[in-house]
Amino acid sequence: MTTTAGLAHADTGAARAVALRVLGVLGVAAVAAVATALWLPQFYTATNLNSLLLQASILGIVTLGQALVLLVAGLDLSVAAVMSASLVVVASLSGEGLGGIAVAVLAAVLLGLGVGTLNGVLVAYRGVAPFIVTLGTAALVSGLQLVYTRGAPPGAIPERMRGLTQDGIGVVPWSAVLCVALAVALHVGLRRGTYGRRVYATGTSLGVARRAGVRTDLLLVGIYALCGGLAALAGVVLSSYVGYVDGAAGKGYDLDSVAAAVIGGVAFTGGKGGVLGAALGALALTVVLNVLVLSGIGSHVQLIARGAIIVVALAFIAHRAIKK
Amino acid sequence: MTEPVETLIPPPASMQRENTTLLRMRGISKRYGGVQALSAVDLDLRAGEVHALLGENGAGKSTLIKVLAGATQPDEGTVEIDGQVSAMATPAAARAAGVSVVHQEFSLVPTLTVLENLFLGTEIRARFGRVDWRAQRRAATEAAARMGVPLALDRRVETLSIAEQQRVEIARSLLFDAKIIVLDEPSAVLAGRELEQLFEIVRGLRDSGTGVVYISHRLSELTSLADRVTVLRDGKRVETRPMEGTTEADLIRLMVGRDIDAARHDRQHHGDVVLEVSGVRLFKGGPEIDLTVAAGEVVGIAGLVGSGRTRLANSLAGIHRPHAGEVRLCGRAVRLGSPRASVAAGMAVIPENRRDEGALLPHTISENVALPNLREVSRGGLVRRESERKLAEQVIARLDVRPKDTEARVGGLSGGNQQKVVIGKSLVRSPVPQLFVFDEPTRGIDVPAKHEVHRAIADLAAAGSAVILISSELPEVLQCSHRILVMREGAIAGELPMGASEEDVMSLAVGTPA
Repeated sequence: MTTTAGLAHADTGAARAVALRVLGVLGVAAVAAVATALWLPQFYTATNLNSLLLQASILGIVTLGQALVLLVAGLDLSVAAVMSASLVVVASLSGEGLGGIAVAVLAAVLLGLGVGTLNGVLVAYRGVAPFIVTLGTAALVSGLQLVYTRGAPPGAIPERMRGLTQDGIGVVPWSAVLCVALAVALHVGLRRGTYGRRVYATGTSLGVARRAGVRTDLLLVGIYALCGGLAALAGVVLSSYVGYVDGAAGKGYDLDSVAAAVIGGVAFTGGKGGVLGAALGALALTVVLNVLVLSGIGSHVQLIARGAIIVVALAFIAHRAIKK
Repeated sequence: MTEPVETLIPPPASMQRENTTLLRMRGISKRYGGVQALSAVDLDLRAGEVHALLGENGAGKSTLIKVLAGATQPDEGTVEIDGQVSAMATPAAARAAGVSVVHQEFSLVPTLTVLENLFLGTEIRARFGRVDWRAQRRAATEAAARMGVPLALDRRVETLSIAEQQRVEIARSLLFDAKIIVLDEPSAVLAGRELEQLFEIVRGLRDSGTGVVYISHRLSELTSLADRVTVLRDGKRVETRPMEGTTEADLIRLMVGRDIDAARHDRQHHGDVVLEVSGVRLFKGGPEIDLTVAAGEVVGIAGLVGSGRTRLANSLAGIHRPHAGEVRLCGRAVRLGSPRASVAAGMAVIPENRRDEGALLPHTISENVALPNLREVSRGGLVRRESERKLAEQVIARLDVRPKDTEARVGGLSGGNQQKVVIGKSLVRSPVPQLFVFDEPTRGIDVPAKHEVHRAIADLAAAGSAVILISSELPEVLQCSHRILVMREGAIAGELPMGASEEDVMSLAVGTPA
């Protein structure tokens, strides 16, 4: 019985460690924020907080999808390509009318769902490694986009769409409200719903879930589709934010979304972590990157710092996961 | 390994057939958690001897071999090789001391050639670190000559038959000058002429002075091949004796040995047929299996590891799709190859591998119990914590799970309590499954938990479920079952009534008349 008690203790210890890590990340972000207030007073201007929340909401939405995929021990590296393609679809299909915008947004989200479904089918039914599948579909989507636009994307982002990111409640843009709403909805589904039970069971042990009657194949396809759809939605918000047509606007969001989710406590190995943590991870990462920008470091050095932060964060957290 | 060429030249056979003791294992004991895998086992191996190691599944053979191979450390006891006490702290140390184990699963790289595999990691170097292929080829040819069979040195291993791959493994042992070669069920994968050739190789090794530990379940081959035999049972050495004058019936008696508790079940009237399996082939081109289990009946399935027992369980669970045949539950055909269809049809299969297939270790008892019962504990897609907790409490009460805490994480429970949770989550399904399949339900769990599991099996049958009990522990099968099916090589080798003896079961399992 002593070993039993010991193990149980170790488990609550592990849960506490996760909580501590999340708190630690938030703490670091808070310290950074206070330090910034002293060194970089412009951090707390309404303009900066607004753009920070805006960027965080775009990263947040795509990170929600990435977190779902990570929860079932997968990985989606096609989200950046989907975001770019989504922006191009919005630009080329929508006119200035509301109906046109609705059609364009719908088309973009359908594209994301489609790519995600393809990812899921290949992973679940063909057993291909998620890493390979999603790198492949990323190339596929980018290639199709190039063929469609011939390198020079047509159209423009309608003025009406800009409200999504330019208007809001005080410094909080509508896109951040959207992100929080999505996070809360997913959180409830995962933590309270039977859906979450199936997702966490599948992520923890596919074998156990299957034997319990969970249709793990369908569930995986659904998760990847959801991730693709969320990436497309993030692309729609990105188009509103950027305001012009850029065929590579989503670049970097693949790695950033993985980093944000992992920083937010989602384990690479599946079954551990949650979407709220992932969203907070997106916020933390954005804050850090924002401070780098404000501190006046040159853009090239920023890129190095950004890469270093992601690599260090992933290496640190992944290493701990392996040790367990 | 600097000059392996020289070490390869076999010493004159005459010198080697003296009775020098190569290996002396004394008082080897090993405990795994609550299970005493070995207690004070002795084993002697002489140079130029084929020594058979015999015992039921779980008798301790594998553990003893692991100790010899340096893969595990004994709690007590010593290993002497050539009169010197060896620590055998690591597989590398055991290898350096001259011990080689040829496992049933080979450790060859399929895409490399035979020659490359033979010297993988131990290449003979010429100047400037180049591989000395000529020396390697020469050494390999000599090893082949010593075995008495040719080796196709330049063929890729993946193009070889199983028998040929096995020879490559044995040749590799010879190349690093192994004095002691352990062959773990080498004949299990062979038949006919290949089998004869294996025996020739083994005799050749013996004649050149190597000590061979030979593990096999095929008793008939042991009586002709082995010089001596050591029989293990329940982690103890029963006897070591010369093979001459020993019959197969003697061996079975030694392996099984103990008196059997009188079967406790009353003969009872069983209900309607619940499970009908007809014409199912577990392996491609394998034999067909037919069986029926009635309501209220416990059918035990015995057989050696690899005889198809677990594959049968997995076929019923929908994890494995059989190559042919039909499964009916209460008259309705069950879609094969779909775990969900099996669950929906009313089957509950308790898997052999608790950790990977039975329980979600990081999750709580209530989450584990809820997983196959999500519809019962939810409303409108949301889990109702209260119903979930009540269901988990039912499991805890019915199977006496400790701790009595629905929110305890399953990974922190003892093996026995984990198993109770795995069984319990099917037990509380509604409607109650009509068929329960238990695959090794008591492996690695303590005695009180074992009794709980046995009680649960008896209760289920009494309540009208059909039960299949698969177990390597013969006393368990004999005690808990109304009748026993013995599997061998993917087929049902025979059926025994309640009250059959362990000898009866073993002789069906190994395929020889007792």
